[in-house]
Amino acid sequence: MRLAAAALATTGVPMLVGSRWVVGSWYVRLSLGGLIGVVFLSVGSYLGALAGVLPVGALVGLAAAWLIGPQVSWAPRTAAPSPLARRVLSLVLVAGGVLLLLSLFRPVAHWDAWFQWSIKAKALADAGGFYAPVFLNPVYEYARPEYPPLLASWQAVAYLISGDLTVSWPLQFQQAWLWTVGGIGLLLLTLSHGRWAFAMPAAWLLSPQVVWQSIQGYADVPMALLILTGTLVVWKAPDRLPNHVVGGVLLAGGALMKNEGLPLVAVILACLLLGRSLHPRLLVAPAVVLCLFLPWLVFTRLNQLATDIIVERRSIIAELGTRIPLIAGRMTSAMLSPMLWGMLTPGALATMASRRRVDVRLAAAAVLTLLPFVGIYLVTPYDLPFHLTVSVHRVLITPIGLLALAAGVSADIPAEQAREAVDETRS
Amino acid sequence: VFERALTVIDVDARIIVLALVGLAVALYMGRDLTGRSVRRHWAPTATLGVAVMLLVPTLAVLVDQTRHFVAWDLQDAGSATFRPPPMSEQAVEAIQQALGAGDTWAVVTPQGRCADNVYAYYWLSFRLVPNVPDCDDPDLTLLWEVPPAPTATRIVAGESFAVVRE
Repeated sequence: MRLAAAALATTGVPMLVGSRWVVGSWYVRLSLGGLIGVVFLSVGSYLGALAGVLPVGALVGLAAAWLIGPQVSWAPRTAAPSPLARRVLSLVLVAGGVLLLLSLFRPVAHWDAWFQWSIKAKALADAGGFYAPVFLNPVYEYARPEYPPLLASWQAVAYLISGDLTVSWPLQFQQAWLWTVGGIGLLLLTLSHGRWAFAMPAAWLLSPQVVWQSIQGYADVPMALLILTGTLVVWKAPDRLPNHVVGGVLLAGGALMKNEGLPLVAVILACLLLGRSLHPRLLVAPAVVLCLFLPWLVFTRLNQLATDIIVERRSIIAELGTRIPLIAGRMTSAMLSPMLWGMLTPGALATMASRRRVDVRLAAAAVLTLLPFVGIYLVTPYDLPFHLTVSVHRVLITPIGLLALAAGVSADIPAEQAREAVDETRS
Repeated sequence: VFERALTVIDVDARIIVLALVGLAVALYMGRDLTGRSVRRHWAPTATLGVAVMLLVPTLAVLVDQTRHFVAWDLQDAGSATFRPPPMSEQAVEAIQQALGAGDTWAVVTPQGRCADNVYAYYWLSFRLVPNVPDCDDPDLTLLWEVPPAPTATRIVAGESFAVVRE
């Protein structure tokens, strides 16, 4: 009973609280509100854990979301789904239902899930804060204590409510729920950009790699869902302040989800905001991200939790000739793998080529978000082929998602323009 | 192990049949698309269709994986690569119950001590939080498929394991 309460309290409750941020139909409010609510619950938990009072932080986070939401009053532009889009949304619900059902019978499944991510959730639940051996004792260095803590902070609330550190299914339930709710929210946001704009993001969401990774206990899919949704929110209406606030919250959640989150968000914000007419609202999303990330940066610096990637200053110039072809080859191979992505990458490129329309900002974000990974692989102290083998298929989840967004919005003329064209014809 | 971890879908006869089922689902979902619409939007149509087609085998592999966890009675930690757990639940429960608050632990397997068997060490570390490993001077040591030294004090023992004070 307590396990079920833990699963529902960390998914349903933030969804209801987050729905106060969104103006629109109930399914728009619940799906996008679900993502916002999870970020507030998790950020509250993480800030509370920094002060050694995680449960208090979680409650304050939810209370803050409850109070701030109606002030922001964000009304995302959506459109009525076409019959095909309705069927795809139904399929996402069915697949999400299967994942949720499976999650009830699953432990923390994958290597990084138990030696890196969920072990911190246990430690947080046990100690109530980050001043626990898993974060501060060098014997746990393998668990990468410096990695951003949002997933662990969210899952720690489930461990706390369940009162049981030996059964892990609420964590899998949280991840399956996030895939379902976040995926539906992402697709709903694309509907105002034309009848076919949802197709590529839907192909990304339903691809073997994203579905498989969604309930293995890793942070890649949660990070990607928050980053893609936040990107779309800021990109859709850069002239509206609420979009910058909501986009900033979602992108901050993405930045705090994984170690590459902050560089990815920095690249994306640069692509979305640079070159626009100067206005103070353009600073809102970066400011939200920085404000929420800064406490973690201070904590890691104060406790000398260093990154595992840059361990020594050394010249890599002599190795560039062997490293760059290997990295490029493995990345290309992973992007084109039909067993991971179906035909998403060639399909997205063909869509943009055949429509002869490319949204430069989203396409640039998709390409430039590959650079942080190229940089990491160039300087990695680990054996490069091994490092590529265990990670390249996962780290591409966000860049390929951005490519799907860029292709999606190129696939058709936006609904507003279509209506205007019809009106002009009638008149 | 890692090569297997990368392979979301192993192609075999069953997977091909499931992919055909997925293809039928995709065709049913797009049943009212006109030829003109498909020609005009061939790339998104095909990409989405392939994704729907592959969804069915992907979910089937996740069902297989979940059944694997249920078969081993795993509730806390497993391995997505269909590996058996590195030790029995009885062994884990025995050391969990033997450890007091603040006690440290180590694990010894036929591969060696602690990180000599990375799978067992990391897996057990997750299971034993908040007790901290101390491989040099532990309060308790779990011996898995290794006989205790004559000088060790046996705390509890079972099939293939013993918890000892070294």
